[in-house]
Amino acid sequence: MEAVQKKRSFLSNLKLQTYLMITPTVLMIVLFGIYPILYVLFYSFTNYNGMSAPDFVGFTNYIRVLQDSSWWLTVKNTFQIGIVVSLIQVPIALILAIMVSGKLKASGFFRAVLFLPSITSTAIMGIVFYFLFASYNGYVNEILIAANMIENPISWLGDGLMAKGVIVSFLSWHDIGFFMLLFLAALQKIPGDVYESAKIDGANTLQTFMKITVPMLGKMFQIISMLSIVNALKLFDSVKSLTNGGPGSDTEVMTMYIYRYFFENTGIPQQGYASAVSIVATLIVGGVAIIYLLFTKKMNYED
Amino acid sequence: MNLKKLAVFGMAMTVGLTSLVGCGSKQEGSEAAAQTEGSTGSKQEIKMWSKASGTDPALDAIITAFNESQDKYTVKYEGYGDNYANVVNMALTSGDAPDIFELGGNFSVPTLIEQKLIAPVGDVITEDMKADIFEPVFNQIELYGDMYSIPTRVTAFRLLYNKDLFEAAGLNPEAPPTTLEEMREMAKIITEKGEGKSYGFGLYLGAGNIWERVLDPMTVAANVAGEYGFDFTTGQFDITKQQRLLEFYVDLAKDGSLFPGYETLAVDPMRSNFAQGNVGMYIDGNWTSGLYSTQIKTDINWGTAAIPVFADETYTKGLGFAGVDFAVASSSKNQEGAKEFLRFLLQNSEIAQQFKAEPKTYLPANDVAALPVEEAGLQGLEYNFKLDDIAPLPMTIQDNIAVEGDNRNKVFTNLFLKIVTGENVDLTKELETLTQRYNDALAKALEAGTVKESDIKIEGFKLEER
Amino acid sequence: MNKTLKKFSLSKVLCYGLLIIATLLTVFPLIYAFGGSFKSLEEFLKGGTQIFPTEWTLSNYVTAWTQANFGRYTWNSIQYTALSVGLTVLTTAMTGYVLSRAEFKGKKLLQGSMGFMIFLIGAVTIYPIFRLSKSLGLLNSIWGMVIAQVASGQAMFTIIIMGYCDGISKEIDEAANIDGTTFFQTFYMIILPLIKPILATVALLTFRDTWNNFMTPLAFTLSKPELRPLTVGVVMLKDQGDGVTAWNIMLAGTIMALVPILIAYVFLNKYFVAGVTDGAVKG
Repeated sequence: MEAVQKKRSFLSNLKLQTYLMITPTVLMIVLFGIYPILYVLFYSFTNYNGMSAPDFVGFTNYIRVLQDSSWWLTVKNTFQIGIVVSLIQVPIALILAIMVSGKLKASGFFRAVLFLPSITSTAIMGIVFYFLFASYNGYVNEILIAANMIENPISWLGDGLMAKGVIVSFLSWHDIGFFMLLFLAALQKIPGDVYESAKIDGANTLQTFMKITVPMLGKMFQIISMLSIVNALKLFDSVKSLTNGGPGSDTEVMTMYIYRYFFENTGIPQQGYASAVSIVATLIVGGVAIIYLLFTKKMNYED
Repeated sequence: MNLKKLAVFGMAMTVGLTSLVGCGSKQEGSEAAAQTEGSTGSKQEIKMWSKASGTDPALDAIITAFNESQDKYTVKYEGYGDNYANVVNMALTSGDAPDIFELGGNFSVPTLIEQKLIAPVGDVITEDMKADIFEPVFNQIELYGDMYSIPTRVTAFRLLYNKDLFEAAGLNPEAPPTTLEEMREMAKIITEKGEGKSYGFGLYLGAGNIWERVLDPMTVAANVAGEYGFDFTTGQFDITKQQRLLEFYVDLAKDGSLFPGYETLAVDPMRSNFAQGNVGMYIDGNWTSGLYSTQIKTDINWGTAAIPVFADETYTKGLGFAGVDFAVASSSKNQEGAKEFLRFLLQNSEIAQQFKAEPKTYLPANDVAALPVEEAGLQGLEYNFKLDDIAPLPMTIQDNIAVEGDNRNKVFTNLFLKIVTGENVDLTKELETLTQRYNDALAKALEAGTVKESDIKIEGFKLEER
Repeated sequence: MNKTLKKFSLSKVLCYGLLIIATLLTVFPLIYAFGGSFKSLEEFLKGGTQIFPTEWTLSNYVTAWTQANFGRYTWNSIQYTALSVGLTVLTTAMTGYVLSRAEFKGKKLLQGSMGFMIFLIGAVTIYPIFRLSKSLGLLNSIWGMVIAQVASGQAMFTIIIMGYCDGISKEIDEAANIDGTTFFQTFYMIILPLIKPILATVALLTFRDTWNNFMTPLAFTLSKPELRPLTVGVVMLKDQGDGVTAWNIMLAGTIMALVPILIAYVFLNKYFVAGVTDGAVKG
C-alpha cells in the first residue's frame, strides 16, 4: 500500500519535473526554430520582394527550383566538398584525439594548439588563405617555386577542382581541432581497464583501435560524424571569403546561392523564390542526415 | 558540481556587473549628449547610414562642419560596409530606420516609393542652386514628379594606365590607347617586357559587377547599345550586341595579357597590384584619384584616359551617372533637419575633396585647381574630373526587374571562363537565351506596373544625342 | 621486456612526429596572420614570402582598438558570451538528460524538431527571428542577443548531451532512486558531475560560436551600436565601400580577439580530464 502511494506521488512529481526541465528548450525551439521555418515556408509560396505585399503564387517557386540548373550545380558542389571534407576531418580528428588523450608528454600543449584554428573567425582566416594561395605572389606558390618543385605558379583558385581542394584544406585546418575535442570528451567515457585487458591479451594499436575504441565510441561517433557532414553542408563564411563562389560558379555552395537571391542579386529582390530554395535546401540537408543516421544505426552499442 | 557552481556564480556576477555597467553607460551616454549639446539645450540627432565602413574622413569632415555651423541638429553617421543592404532592409521592416540612408546598390527605388518608405526631397535643391548642379542629375532622379534622393557624386568609368610601365615597354606614356585594337597590342607588348613580373591588362572577375565596369561603358560610348544591351527605341534587351566585346576580352586572355588570378581577382587585390606597378592597364571608377592617394599609397606614375572603343566605332558619350545618393526615410522624425543636412552636404562638397578627390554633382566643387594636387599626390585628374564626355541613360532597367536564373554578370563570367578553358560554346545562342530571359522579366514588370512603357520605349532615342 | 619497450617507443615517436607536423600546419596560417597584423596595408597586399613585416607597425593595433571601440566591445562580448554559455549549458543539460532518461508525450516530436533545427541555415532565419524579437521587445539589448544565441544552440548541444547521457548506465539512476532522490536531484547531484567533460565541451563550443557570431548581434544592436560585441566591431573594419578594405587592421583586431577565448580554453581544459582512466563509473 505504502509503496504504491509513494510511487504515485513520485510519478506525478517526476512528470512535473520532466516538463519543467525541458520547458526552456521547448519554448526556444518553438519561437526560434519552428516559427522561422513556418515564416520561410509561408513566403516560399509567394513572390515577396522584401517590401511590397506578397502575392500568392502557389507552387511556382518550387517548380522553378526543380528546374533551376544553377541551383542543382550548387547542390553538387556542396556535396562534393562536404563529403571529401568529412572523410578527411573525422578520421584525422579521431586519430589526433587518441594521440593527445593524455599518455604523451605535452598533450595539453598539443590539444591547445590544434584547437586554435577553430576559434578563429572563418571569414577572416579565409582571406588569409586567399592570400596564401594567390596566383601572383602567393606564399604557397613562392615556396614551391623556391623549392624547385614547380616552375610556374599554380592557379590554385582559378581552377574549379583546385579551388575546391583549397576549400577542403581550409575547412580541415579550421575544424579538425573542434572535432578532436568532441572525440576527446567521448573517449573519456571508455573505461581504462578495457584498454588494459586488451593490452594484456596482446592486441596491438590497430586492433585496439578497430575492435575497442571505435565500437565503444558508439553513438558519439555517429553524432560527431553527422555534425561534420551537416556543418559542411551549411558552409557559408569560409567559401564566401575564400573564393566567393569562384571561379565562375564552380565553388558556389547552397547557402551562397540562397544568400545571393535574398540579398545580392541585381534587380528586384526575389525573396519568395529564395525562401522556396531555403526550404528545399533544408529538406536536402535533413534528408542526408536521416539517411546517414539510419545507415549507421548499428553503431549504437549502448542500446 | 564545480562547473555548475561556477557557471551559476559567473552568471550572477555578470548580471550584477551588467546592471552596474548599465548605470554607467547611461551616464556615459548623457555625458556624450551633453557634450554635443553644448550649453544651448538639446540638439536633435539625425542618424545617417552609409555603405562606407570604419571611417570616411571625407564624410566626417562635412558632418563636423555641419554640426558646428548650427545648433539645431547633430548628424551621426554609421557605415555598414558589406552588410549594408541587409541591415537597411531589417531596419526598414522593423521601423527602426535611420533618418538618412544611402541608396547605393540593390534598392529598387520605385518599390521604395510605392511602399512609402522614402520621402520626396526635391526641395533640397533650391532654385539658385540648380545652375550649380550637374544637369543630368535632374532627369535621372526625377520619378513620379519629384526627386526622391540626392546624388552627390558623378560616377563614370575610365581606363587607368601605368605610365612607368608604358615607358619601360617603349610606349609613349602620354599616349594611352584610344581604340581596343591598340589596347590589345599595347597589352601584349607590356606583358612581353614584363617577363612574368608585370602584365598588360587587369580583369577582375572577382568583382560581382565587373561587366558593368568593363563592358557596358564601351557599348554605351560606341552607341552600340545601352547597359545590358538595352535598346531604348524598341524597349527590349538585345544582349547579343555585346558579344563582340565579350569575345574581345577572351582574346586578351588567350594572348596571355591578363594579370594572373583574374578568375577570382577581387577589387582590392586588383587595385593593390596596380599600385605596386604590376599591371599596365585596367578599368576603374573616376573616384580613383582620391583612392590612390589616401587609401592605397602608390609610387607609380599613372594616368587616366577615356574608355577605348573598336576602331570602326566612334566614341561619343561615355556612360556616367549621378551616384552615391542619399534618401530620407519617411518614418524619420527629423525630415526637415535631414534635408537641411543634405543641402549642406551638396554645397560644401569641396571640404570632402581634400580627403577624397572625386567629381561631385555640385559642380563648383570640381575645381581641379583648388585640389591639393601636390600634397596629396593626386593623379589621373584629367579624365577623372572630365564631365563633358559622359552622360547617363534614361533608366537603369535591370535594377527594376526580377530575372529568373543567373543574372547577366554571372552568365558572362561563366561563359568567359568556359571559352577561355577551351570548352565549345555557341556564344550567340547563349546570349540569345539570356536576352529572352531578360525580356521575359521585363514583360512581367510591365504587367505588374513597376516599369512603365513610357520609361523604356522612347521615340527616336539616339544614344549619341544624350 | 625489451621488445615491448622498443615497440612502445616506435609508436611514441610516430605519434610525436605526426603531432608536430599537425602543429606546424595548424600554426602556420596563424603566424602568417600574426605577421600580417603588423604590416602596413600595402605590404600585406603584396603577398610574397615575407611572413614578418619589414617594419613592425603597431599602429594597426592602436587603430583597431580605437576604431573598433575595443574596450567597450570586449566588455559587451564578455557579458554576451558568459550569459550565453551559462544558460546554454543549463538548458541543454536538463533537456539532454530528460530525453535520455524519461518517456513522455511528445518526446518523439521534440527530438524530431530538434533534429530538424540543426539543418536550419542561419542566414535565412535571421529575418523571422528579427521580426519576432521586435514584437517580443528583445531588440537592442544584450538579453535579446543572449536568448537568440542560446536558442540557436539548443538543437545541436541537447543532442550531444543526450548522446553522452545514453552512454551512462541507467543503473546509476536506479541506484539513486532507491535512495529516494527525485528525478531532478539525480540529475543535479549525480549525473552532472559525471558528464563534466561534455558539459565543458558544450561550454567551450558555445563560447566559440558566441564569440565569433556576427549577424545575430549586429541585428540585435541596430539602434544601439554601443552594445555591440567584439566580432561585429572587427568585421566592420572591413570594406570601405568604394575604397579598400583595411585587412591589416582587421587582422590586428582578430589577433586581439583571440586572447580572451584562449584564456577560457586554458581554464576549461582541465575538465577534459587527462587520463583515459577517469570518467565512467566502475562497477
